[in-house]
Amino acid sequence: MSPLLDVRDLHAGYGPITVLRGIDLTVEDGEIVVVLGANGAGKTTLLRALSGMIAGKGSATVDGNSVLGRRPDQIVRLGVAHVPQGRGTITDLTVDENLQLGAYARKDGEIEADKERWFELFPRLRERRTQTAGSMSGGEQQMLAIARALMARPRLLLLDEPSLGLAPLVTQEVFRSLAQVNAEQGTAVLVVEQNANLALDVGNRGYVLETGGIVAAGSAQQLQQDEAVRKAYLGY
Amino acid sequence: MGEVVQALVYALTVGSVYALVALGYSLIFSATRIVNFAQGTLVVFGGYLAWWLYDQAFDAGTSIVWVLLLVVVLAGLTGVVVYLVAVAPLGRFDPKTNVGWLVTTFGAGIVIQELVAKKISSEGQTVPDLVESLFGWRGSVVRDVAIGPSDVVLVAIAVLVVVGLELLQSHTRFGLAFRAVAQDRPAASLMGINPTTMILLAFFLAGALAGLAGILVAPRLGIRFNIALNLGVAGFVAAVIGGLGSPRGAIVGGLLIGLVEGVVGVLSDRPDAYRPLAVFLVFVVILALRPTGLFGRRIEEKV
Repeated sequence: MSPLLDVRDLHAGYGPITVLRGIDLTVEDGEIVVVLGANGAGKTTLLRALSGMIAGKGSATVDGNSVLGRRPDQIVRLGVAHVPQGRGTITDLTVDENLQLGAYARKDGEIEADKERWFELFPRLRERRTQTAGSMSGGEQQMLAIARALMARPRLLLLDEPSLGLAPLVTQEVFRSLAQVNAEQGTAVLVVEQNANLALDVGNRGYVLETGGIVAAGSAQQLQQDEAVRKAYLGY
Repeated sequence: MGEVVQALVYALTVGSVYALVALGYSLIFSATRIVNFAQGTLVVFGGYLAWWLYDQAFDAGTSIVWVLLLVVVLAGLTGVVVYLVAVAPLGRFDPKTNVGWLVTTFGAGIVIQELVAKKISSEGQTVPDLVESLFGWRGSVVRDVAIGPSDVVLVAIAVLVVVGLELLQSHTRFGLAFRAVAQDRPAASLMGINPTTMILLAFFLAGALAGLAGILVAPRLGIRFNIALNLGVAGFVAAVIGGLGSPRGAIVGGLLIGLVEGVVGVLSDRPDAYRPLAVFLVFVVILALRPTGLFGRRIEEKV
């Protein structure tokens, strides 16, 4: 069986500047895969290319369908939901409206039931459902961003630095929720993180990205024990 | 007293036309952050199209309602063409730093005007009034104040359109998606919304509203090219005063401008000279007090 996400020799960048120089990466169904890397390594670029926000060359398929050359709204319909850095919620709309829009590509009648499910997971969102997204704290906005992405019932969730700007305790909560969603729904997750410890704790496998190329790959355990990875990303 | 009330009736009527034009600006600004300066010309285009269809193309006796529907649809499609020809080719651009749209939309307006002058008519024209031809009511005089059928129709339609747009934006999936695109295009596209669909819809609706304004205003003011600039400017001022992007702002702004013009008409013996002065005075004062307009929101900038 071929992987859910299959990336081969992916090149991407901004205009004349190439950031990714030939990335090979896979995510299996139901897996949590972590991409580690310093600032400027190309982590965000990778996710942006996969969700169609920027153009890419090479090959990247989800369930056999190429995502390169497709628009973001088409890629959502292939089962990919991207939570970009800076959250990707509509700040002037309420929590309820953001969740509603998260299900925009869906046509079934279970949208309200799904909302309830994510309110169970993130009770704070239920309390704030009539509040605008922009009026909430950073942690609450991150939870909303994740819930909004899950409303699309994705098979693959792309997360860009979910810990950015969050207090450590809140970050832990976010990752715990992610692990729970993954376990219960079988949603595969590709998460890009600088907070390597937390991410590798919940992840199955990981890649290390440096200046636009993959320099190391392995199981989460292997990476946590790897001398170089520990020095560079785990800080001990 | 009768004179003052008469001026108010005029203010409401003209203000409603401005409101319809302002709504067009507002819709397009919401979706794209640009201002379509062909909007005033599209009103005149709608008026001429209505005259041509009614007077020349159709058999005598064809209901004005068919003309109205056709004009609204064709003007809407013309709005879409303006987008495809004058805005889309500019590519992905930042509307704040790249202001090519300023010239291209204005140019599109000139092209439409010249095409109409060559192919349809360059003379002043008029079309029968909608209510008059449907119900035979030719207007009434109540205590020295004349109320024409156009007055009633214009005000009623402007109010209906505003209420309709407000409901659409707050109560439907589509309206929600439109607001999402207006506020944050990348985030909206990650939710599965195709921004281009919303932009095309905005240009269609804006064109359709201009066409509607054209066919409704023709029996009251007559349709001539030299009203295009006036309508375009007054509608723009109305949209900005009300707050670009807000339907209720558009109608409040439109009626306010109409009112200012009406008051000048009563007070001054040279109204045409003083109207623009008074309008821009109000414009400047309101913007000084509320830079985002009466119902406008600040656009948040992300770094």
